[in-house]
Amino acid sequence: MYGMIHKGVRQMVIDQLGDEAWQATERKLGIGPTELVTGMVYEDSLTIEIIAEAAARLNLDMEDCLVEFGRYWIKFAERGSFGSFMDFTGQDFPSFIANLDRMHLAVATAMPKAQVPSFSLIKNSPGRMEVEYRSDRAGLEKFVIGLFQGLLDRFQRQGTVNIIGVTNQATMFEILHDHKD
Amino acid sequence: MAVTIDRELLDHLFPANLFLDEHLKFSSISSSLRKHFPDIEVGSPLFHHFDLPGGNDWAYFHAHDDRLKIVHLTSKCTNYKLAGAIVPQDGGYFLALHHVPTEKAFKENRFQISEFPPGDPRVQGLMLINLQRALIEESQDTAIELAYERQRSVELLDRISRIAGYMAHDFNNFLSIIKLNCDRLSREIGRNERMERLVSIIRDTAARGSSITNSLMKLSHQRTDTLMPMAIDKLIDENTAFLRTVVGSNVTLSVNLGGGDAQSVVSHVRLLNCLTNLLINSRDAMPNGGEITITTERRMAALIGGKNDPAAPMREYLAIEVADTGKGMTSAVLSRAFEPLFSTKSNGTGFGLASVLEFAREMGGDASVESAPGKGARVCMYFPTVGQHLSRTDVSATNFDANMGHEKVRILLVEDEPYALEALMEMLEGEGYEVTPCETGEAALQANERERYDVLLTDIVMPGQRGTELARLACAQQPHLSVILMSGYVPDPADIMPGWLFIRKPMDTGELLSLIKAATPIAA
Repeated sequence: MYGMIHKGVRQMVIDQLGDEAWQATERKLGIGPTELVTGMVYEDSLTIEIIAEAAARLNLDMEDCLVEFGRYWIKFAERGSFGSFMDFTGQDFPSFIANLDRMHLAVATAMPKAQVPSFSLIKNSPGRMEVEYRSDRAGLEKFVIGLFQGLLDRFQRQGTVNIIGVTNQATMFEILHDHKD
Repeated sequence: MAVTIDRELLDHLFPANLFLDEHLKFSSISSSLRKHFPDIEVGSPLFHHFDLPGGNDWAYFHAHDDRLKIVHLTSKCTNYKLAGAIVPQDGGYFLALHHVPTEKAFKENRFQISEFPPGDPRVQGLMLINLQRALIEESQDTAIELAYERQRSVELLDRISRIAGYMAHDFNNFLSIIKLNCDRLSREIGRNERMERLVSIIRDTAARGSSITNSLMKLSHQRTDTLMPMAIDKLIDENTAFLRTVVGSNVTLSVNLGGGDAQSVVSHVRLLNCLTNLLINSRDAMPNGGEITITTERRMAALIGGKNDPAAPMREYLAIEVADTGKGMTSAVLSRAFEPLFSTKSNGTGFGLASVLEFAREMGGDASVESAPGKGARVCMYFPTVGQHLSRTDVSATNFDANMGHEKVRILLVEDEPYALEALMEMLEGEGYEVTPCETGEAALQANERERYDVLLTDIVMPGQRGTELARLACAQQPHLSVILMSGYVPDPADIMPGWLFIRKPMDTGELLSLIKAATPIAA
């Protein structure tokens, strides 16, 4: 995955446990700034290793850590260099979800090795959305739940995210939220 | 065929749209435009808010034309631009517009994707530009992080290096005490083979420990050589084979050693480095082959700046001359030959000759160069000879008696380690020297003020005054004083005055006695 994911994990560990905890993580994994270059593609196994180590330090199991990280990722992206991107993608919850694919298309053009996922807003009724998620990567559904929760936070919504269907090709998420639109 | 589309679909297809009545007054505007122009009211004239590029021409709207009319609107209040098409409607106009965003507007978060029609290439373009900007910002952050990390690594290495140096120093001190006391034991036990064997085991183990400290010192980038009087001819002779490999098969190397057993105090490692540098220079000056001659001889000279000068005291030097039959130097090059960073070679560093001069001067000597175009070059290094009284004997001879036929040689011994001080004092007194032991530099200076001494034998690293500082002050009190420094550290050459000797701990008793003999002309 791209190094910006690693940077996100680092910031999450630093925010929650302090700088020392991240330095200890780096020492344990034998990594440093060269493994945190935003535009560099690293092996997925390294990314998983970093997240697993972060989970251990945060005293979370891997799935909970993925949810936590997904939620954190939204905050991390909006306060960094990619903040204007987030704003451009959508300034309200449904628009943002609906435009995710267009944003990812641009990301994939600029960062050709990024295996970007696809999000399709299948249903959008007041207080309820169904979003279809497709990805070449398996096992990141918990991360996606965290992402949706992060977006609910971003747009000051209360809500829950559930997986309501899984096929070989796609996972269907249901987002229930307090309707404000 | 007419197609009816509802407002929602219209806004989706043309997010920035507006309707004008026949008088070009707003009859409705889309939510996207409403967001950017909250002041526009239904019924207000278009040209109160926007300008057309060629002037606000009503006729442009009203003229009957089958072709699709393109329109560009610029906000009167801001620099905001819209562009699109005019579609005549019953009794009015539909303007299917799109935003013409600037990068500034994007950065200020004025837009979102939904405000652009599906498939609008501007979205992709805008995102790419801003993604690249974000990546550049990230790269700058990463560069700063990498620089910081590099600095951290350098500092860490430096700390490790210093710790290694401290450890080596302290360990050497302890090894020195062990070795000196082994020598004491040997003297005490006389001919007892079993005890001798035990002492030998301890001494050998200490020697192995010493090799570990050598490694530590190398790790801490400290020099490990000593400043001992040495017969330079012997050193060159022993290394001639190596020096021949430096010049290569294309060049003939002749060695004429005429210095005999004259000794000079030099670092043998650095002397060999200098010779190697000179040979490389000469070799490079003779790409088609030639001859290099190394000559040594004793010379009486009064040198200042590599030249005889009556203002300087006359003394004996061991001169090492490296001459070649190369292309030589012009006077302009010759005048800058010793200049640091100056080189006539495309891959030269400019440190070769400069380091030769620096080294020779650090050792109390000098260096000179002579050359002319087509006549080769001749570089000469001068090192003061020491212990001229020993010139016909080997300083390592052990049959030397410190008080034979003379007054006792008086040694001011300074060592802050009491066990080392005790062992050294006993050993030196056993060798016939008169020794005044001091545990601090301050006590030594007081003693030096009261009494005359021949040799100051001092540790370097001590609490309070360092040995090098003590030696400077003591020599100011008694200019004839010979100085021998001893330490687990090899001191910085800049701290050592020409003529001072240095022995590295753990010390070998025989080596130390040789140094003292070399430093005391009374033995002549």
